[in-house]
Amino acid sequence: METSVIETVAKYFYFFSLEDRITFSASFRVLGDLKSNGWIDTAHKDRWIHVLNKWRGRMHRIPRREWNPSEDHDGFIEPKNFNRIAWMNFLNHADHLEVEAVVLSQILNFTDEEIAKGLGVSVGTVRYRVGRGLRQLGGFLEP
Amino acid sequence: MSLEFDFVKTKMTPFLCQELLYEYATHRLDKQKEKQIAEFLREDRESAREFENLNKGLRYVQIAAKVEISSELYEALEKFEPQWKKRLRAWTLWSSERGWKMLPYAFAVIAIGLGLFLTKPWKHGEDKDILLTEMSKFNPEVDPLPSAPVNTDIQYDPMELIMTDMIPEPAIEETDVPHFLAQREPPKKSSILLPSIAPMPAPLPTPAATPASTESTEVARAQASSAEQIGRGFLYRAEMQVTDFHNSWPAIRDKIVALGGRIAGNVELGWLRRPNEAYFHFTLPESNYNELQIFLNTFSPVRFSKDRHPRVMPEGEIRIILTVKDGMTENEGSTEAP
Repeated sequence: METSVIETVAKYFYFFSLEDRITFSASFRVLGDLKSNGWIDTAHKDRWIHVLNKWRGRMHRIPRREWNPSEDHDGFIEPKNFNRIAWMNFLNHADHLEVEAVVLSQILNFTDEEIAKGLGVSVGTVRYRVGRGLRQLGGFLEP
Repeated sequence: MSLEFDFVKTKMTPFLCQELLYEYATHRLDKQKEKQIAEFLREDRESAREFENLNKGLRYVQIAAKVEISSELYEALEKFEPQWKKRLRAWTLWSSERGWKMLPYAFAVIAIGLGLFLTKPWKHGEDKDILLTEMSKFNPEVDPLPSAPVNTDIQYDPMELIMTDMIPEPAIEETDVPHFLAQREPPKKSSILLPSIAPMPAPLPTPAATPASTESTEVARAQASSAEQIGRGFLYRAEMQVTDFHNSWPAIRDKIVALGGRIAGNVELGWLRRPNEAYFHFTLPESNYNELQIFLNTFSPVRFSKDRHPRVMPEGEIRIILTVKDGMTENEGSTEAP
């Protein structure tokens, strides 16, 4: 399995949940889905986005799987200056389409064209959502 | 005429400026547009504040992009297997270590075999009752005076006819053999009769009725599920006791005929099953059902039960089995009983 797909999928769900178990359970499903369809390699990035988007709506209904029973590891290593509260506010108040656009475009570094193809929207729509999302996110940050 | 958005000619508004801020910040606009937005940002404070937010957001996502997945989680995702797969693997390993390599396969074969044995998927749709033989001992040539026209409009289908005999009903309804015929013919033993489907006893078994039921139908049946035996039609049943039996039952018979009642079984309307019991098996237009009930209630309170039955009646018709008993002798009988 390619490195990038695991990291991409896991980070996508982490930025939508900020919780390891949900991330793990949802990522497991998405990776299984991609694997069974033969979309694991980077040539199918638009498919990744499509599958991620499909499972995002269901991620809270997926039975939680335990990946770290002893709980002695964190699933993600955050930079020290990462403002978790601001991101939570952004998650809670912004439109999830805009959050998704910001995550895919700015954090996971998908191109606008890949995002547009994966979500089935125009490139202009993707940029509009990213722009609005970033403005909203900035509004939750201190000056 | 170009359909493209003519940015230069359009007057800049806060909305337009704010919508283009992302492109402006990521330098995706041409120089002329960039210049126009830069000028507008100096004038419009709201747009300048939005631009500041956008820049803060961009700086923030640069930090957020540095969030890394831990090697443990990465490994867990890479190697994760469902619990059942882990157990199966462990079990396979355990059995192979002991030289029982075939054990998991044997178990799987046994499980599949057991499942097939229990469910019997090939038998779906075949487990209907099989009617091996059906003989009626009733001879229409010596049919004693049917006093009402016989209903020939009842819809039968082949399965229904088979299933009708599977329903455990009072024996008399299955046969409807006149009393005197039953007495005349000596009982014959059934050649093929499965013991599992013994007919249910008649509501009031009499010495005459019991041999009639056993000799008139010699049917061998295979057992079917009771759910399938329950039919789509309905049968109305009622039993009533009257004080003046000898005058009442002919009156009831006449009323049934007057209401359009027609014989449904093989015996005449008001067949005297016993000296103090009259049996009516007939069809009736559903519209006259209430009137019949009212009429019967003038003799004594009567209550009809509506039972499911495989025999389907034509639209607007119902089938009724009514037993009228002599109330006087019944009461005497009950008081005499120990």
